[in-house]
Amino acid sequence: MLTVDKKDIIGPSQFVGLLTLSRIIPVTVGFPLLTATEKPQDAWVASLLGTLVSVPVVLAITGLSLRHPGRTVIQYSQDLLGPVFGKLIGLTLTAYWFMTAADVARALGEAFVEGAMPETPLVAFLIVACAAGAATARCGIEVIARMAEIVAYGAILLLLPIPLLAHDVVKFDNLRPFLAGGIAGLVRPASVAVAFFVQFMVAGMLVPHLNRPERAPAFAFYSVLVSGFVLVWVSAVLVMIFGSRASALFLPAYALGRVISIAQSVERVDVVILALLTVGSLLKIALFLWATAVALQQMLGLEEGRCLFYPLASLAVSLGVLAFKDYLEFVRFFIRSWPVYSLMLGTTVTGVLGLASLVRGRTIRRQGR
Amino acid sequence: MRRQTRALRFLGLFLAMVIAGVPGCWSRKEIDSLGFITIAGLDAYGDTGRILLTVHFAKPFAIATEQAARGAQEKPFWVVNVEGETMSSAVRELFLNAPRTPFWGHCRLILVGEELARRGIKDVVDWFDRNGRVGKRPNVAVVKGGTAAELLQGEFSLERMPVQGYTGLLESASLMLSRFRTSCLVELTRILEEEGMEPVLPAFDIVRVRSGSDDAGELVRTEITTTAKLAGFAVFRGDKLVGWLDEEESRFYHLIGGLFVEADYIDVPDPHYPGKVVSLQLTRSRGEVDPVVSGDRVSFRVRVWVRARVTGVQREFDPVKTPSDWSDLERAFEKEIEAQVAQVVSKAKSLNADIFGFGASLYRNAPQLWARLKDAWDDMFPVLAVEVEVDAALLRTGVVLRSIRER
Repeated sequence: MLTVDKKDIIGPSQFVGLLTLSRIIPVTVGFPLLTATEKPQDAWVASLLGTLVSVPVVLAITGLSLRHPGRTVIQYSQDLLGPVFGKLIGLTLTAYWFMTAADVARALGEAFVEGAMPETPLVAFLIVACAAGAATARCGIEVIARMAEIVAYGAILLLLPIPLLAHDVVKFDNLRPFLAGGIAGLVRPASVAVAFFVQFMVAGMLVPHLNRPERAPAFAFYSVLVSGFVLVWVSAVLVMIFGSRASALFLPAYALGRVISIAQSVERVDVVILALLTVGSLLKIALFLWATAVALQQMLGLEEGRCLFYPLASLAVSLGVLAFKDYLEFVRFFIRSWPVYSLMLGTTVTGVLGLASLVRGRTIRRQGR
Repeated sequence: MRRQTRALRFLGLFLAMVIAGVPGCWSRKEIDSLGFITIAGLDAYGDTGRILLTVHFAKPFAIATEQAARGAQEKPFWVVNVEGETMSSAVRELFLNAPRTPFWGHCRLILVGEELARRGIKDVVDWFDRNGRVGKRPNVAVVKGGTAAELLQGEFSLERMPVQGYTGLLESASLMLSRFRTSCLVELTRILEEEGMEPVLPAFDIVRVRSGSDDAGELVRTEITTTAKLAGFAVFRGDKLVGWLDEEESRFYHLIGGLFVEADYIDVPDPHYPGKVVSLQLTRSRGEVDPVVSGDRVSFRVRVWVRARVTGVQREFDPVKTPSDWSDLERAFEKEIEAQVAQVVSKAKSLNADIFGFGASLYRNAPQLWARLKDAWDDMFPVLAVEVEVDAALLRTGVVLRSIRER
């Protein structure tokens, strides 16, 4: 069973870094929210709306962990719902995390094939990404969190000054008209944004490792704010630079790097962005492989979970390659089917566990009386 | 157990050594196997609908040698012409001509011949936009009255590499004159998709220094036969070239767009001495386009705010002594700006190309009305009511207050 030893304790900043990084990776590769926005100038409003809606969702997800100190979501779902239904919930979450790891690997592979090395087969990148992710995950959550803290804040610092570096092609007017697609036009992109925030359910596995678990909802809230800010910022910057072409970009952050040109000497910053994107994606793969392995270990009652990382990584490679025929199918999945799946999963799991927790709490109080 | 771990470590080390020893990998690009493209020229190839692609390959050995440092005559670039059904097929043809793999990462200029520009540039722009190897910042320009292939035989006296000549010309003119402005690929693709806005691109004229010669195949430079000069702007409707703005029109096009470069000069007819002019240096300027909507009717107001200083007069001028002279000159300055702005607006209307973004400003300010009008915009634009409002003032006289008095 999972034992939280001193080696596996993470600090608040690392916790925020981990969650933030996992949220900003889809902004740099693909950016489904922008693709889903009919009028790209509304993307920043949709990002803001999505972030605001995500706050209660994320607070509910992390708040549940406070009622079950020292227990992961996999463990307390069995405590609340019994072994069968509890494991069913656990299995659903595990599949979700595993799929997330495979999807991130696929997105990273596509980014490399299209952006840097077109002759290299996609599977080669997936193998390397998943193997590196598994190797990192084997080192434990503290190592992943330590790296994520540096990379997340590095990525933010890199993305923030882009409008200044590319000021000659920035056009503020591109953000107008405000709400060009109306309120109805925000529903789909905002739901995509919230769907990605549902990935914060992985916090249910992280809270027991947090050195101040009682503050987990506050830290998760900070993560939503920081990543929400990045989301709003990047979508606004993309539209200011590319206009309505922004929604056609395959690798938005990479494209931002390609427009920077200062005195013809500071150019091709895309390489730096690609490097950050790679390390960030590897850490996200590591985080979700770690969550999957620990969840499986707890559900199956295994003594040792480290043996699961490489088999899971190889399965993630297969899923990443086979799940989508081509990149367009991948994009369509993320703007059409996945938000529905992710939102349903998030609300159902949180709702069922929250309800069970309330009922159980009342029962215990009654029995106490 | 320890034995097993040692065996695994040994195996790991062995595999690492084998992998490190494997020469090369997928997608490898050795720098000495790449041919660096610096300029791409695109032309319509006859009436066949085919594309003629002309590229400049940089010759690193001719740039960075001791010979080059002493000003040796070998051209540091190689011009290649290929043709193809599409842009992609023309690019493929390059592989049959160039002994090195064409590398587009250093392409700084895309030149489009007039004929191809008139046919439409969307298809060729799509190739550059889609290609991850091409940066987003190469300048795009049109060759006025000629082909890119012809212009790319040209060179510049001050630059060894023509690409530096063209980009230097564009950049210094954009910096110092209001008549020009660079337009890069990312801006062009953005405007091609923007509602109610048509693109303009800088235009180059071919200047023949020595006629009747062809230096296309010459390895060694003897003398420059063809060079380039900036020649206003090419005006597009959609992706098709429909006309030109001359240098003066380009200047006022920029003034309306708020892109006027401070420190440019303008000659205003002297209000008191017909035939003479007063030279003014513009020190500050702003320009904007606003829609005036009343019901379903729309007109536009072009507002220009400009400040200047006197830099030259052709007669005795003492505004301290005769203040009316100063205010008359100010009024003349205002009238001149108003007339020039009105003229460039009517030129755009005559070409039916909304280069000022009247439609875009309507879309931004009244999106619902734009949605109703946009299909009819092509018919509306040439007869659009446009009011020009100019606020012009003179602020200074230079470092002297009056001109030299006649004895």
